[in-house]
Amino acid sequence: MTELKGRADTPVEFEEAPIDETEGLVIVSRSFGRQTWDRFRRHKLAILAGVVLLILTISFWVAPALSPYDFDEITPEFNQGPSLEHPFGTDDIGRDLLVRTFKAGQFSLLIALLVAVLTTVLGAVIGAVSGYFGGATDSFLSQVINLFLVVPSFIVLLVVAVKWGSNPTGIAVLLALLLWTSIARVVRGVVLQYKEQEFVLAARAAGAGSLRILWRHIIPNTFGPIIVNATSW
Amino acid sequence: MLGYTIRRVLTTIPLLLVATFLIFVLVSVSNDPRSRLAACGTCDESAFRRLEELYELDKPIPVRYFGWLSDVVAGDWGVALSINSIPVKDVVLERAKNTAIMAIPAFILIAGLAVVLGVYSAVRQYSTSDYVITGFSFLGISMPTFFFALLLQAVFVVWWQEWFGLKPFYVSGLHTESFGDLVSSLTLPVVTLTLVVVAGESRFMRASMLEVINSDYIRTAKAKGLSERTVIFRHALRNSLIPLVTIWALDFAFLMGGSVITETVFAWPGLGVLLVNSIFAQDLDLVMGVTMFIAVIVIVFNLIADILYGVLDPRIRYD
Repeated sequence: MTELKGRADTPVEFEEAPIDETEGLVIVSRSFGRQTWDRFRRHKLAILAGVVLLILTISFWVAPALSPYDFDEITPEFNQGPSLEHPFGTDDIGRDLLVRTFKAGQFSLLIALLVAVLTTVLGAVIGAVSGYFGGATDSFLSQVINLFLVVPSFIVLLVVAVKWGSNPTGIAVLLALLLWTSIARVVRGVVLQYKEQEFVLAARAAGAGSLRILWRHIIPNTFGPIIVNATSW
Repeated sequence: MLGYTIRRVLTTIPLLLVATFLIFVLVSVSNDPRSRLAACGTCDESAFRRLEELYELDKPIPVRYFGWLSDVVAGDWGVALSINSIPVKDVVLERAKNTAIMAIPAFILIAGLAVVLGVYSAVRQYSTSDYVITGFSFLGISMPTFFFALLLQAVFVVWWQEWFGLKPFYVSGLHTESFGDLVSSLTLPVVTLTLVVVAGESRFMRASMLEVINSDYIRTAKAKGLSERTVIFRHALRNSLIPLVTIWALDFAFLMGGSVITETVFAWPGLGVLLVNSIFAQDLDLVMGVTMFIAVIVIVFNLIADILYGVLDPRIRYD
């Protein structure tokens, strides 16, 4: 409590040991990252989920390295059920499915991460701008969102698959381009609601510019749905 | 709000033009209807030329598009060559009806369950029931639709018959002979759709509800002595529904567009399967007809969601 004793505007009137009235009321300020970490640490299910994710991630890279088979190695045993040599069985040309599953896990994980980040950023920015600025901007962006929703992904995927084949980054970017629309709609709706509230008016009265209001005051309020969306891929 | 609605409806016209043009080009460059004849032993040069004439393959794609467009504007959607040359409009409306029979009950269940589960687990955050609901949501989000559909078929039809000697539900197809048949053929696909879609929606509801119940005006409402029920249902729910209304519109349009996997597993004659089949059959007029229909549904329901925002929260104004 040394910082309280040093306060110049607090006259110390008692000679005897002062009763610390602020005991238990002092809040040690913690950074946002620190608060998040502390909440995460106390949340048993979150820790469990984190550990499972970590184990899976490590095994996606370790298991193919330890496996006696290569992911594209063709063995004489084809179309086999699970056995000791092939715990997941083999496919129709005799490749070991265990090593193929874990190898595929690497790509799934990378693509999922990339898609989650890209859709979230693209969707949140377009949705927030559309909802906040309103008017012609909103009409235009809303119809752009509709455009991406109405062109069937299946047709786009067919054409792109023929033209560019399959490379993981390409797939992730393409999926992001096809999937950003729902979070954009959600963020737009929430921004429409928040931009009329008093704290935004207060921020504007205090002289904050549009970008600052969006970034500091409105976007943090849309984190709930954004996180739900980003974690569902 | 009326001005806004009119503006949105008017800006939909250029949107539909751009969208249909894009789809037309994508379908035209990705396949050639003449390739269908490659496998046909008895077809001669004349069949080849008939297809060329029908699809105007000697003309550039934009010219063909305007040909299609002027026919559609005149009310002629063309014929579905892959389904015995029935008019596209008849096929699409018939299939849309079948899809609606499945989509509407599923949507009502989804919407209701999402609110109940989302609110319940938000109000009792970190309780056992919240963990159970959260656990099942993640199960629903992570489980592939086809797997769940097949599991339901195995448990409720195949195994059920072994255990109890009766077959409670139809495994496949749409049966409309009696109301009982209809319900029986609907049950499994509707349950599949509901569980898969409600998982994500209840997460949105929970997140949004948590945001609202931790805000100042909810504390004020509680402080002035209102019952928990009143606070949650009169004050919090309405303010937390906006994300869910957005998702409802998107999901309803998705359900009405036909869920390909569920329709395939349950052999349901719906729009989703029709679209995929028409793409593989290179039936251009049918692809265009189905996508136009789905596009209009997407646009209409997103507009309804935008109007509902204003009803839920009158502070939201577009003008």
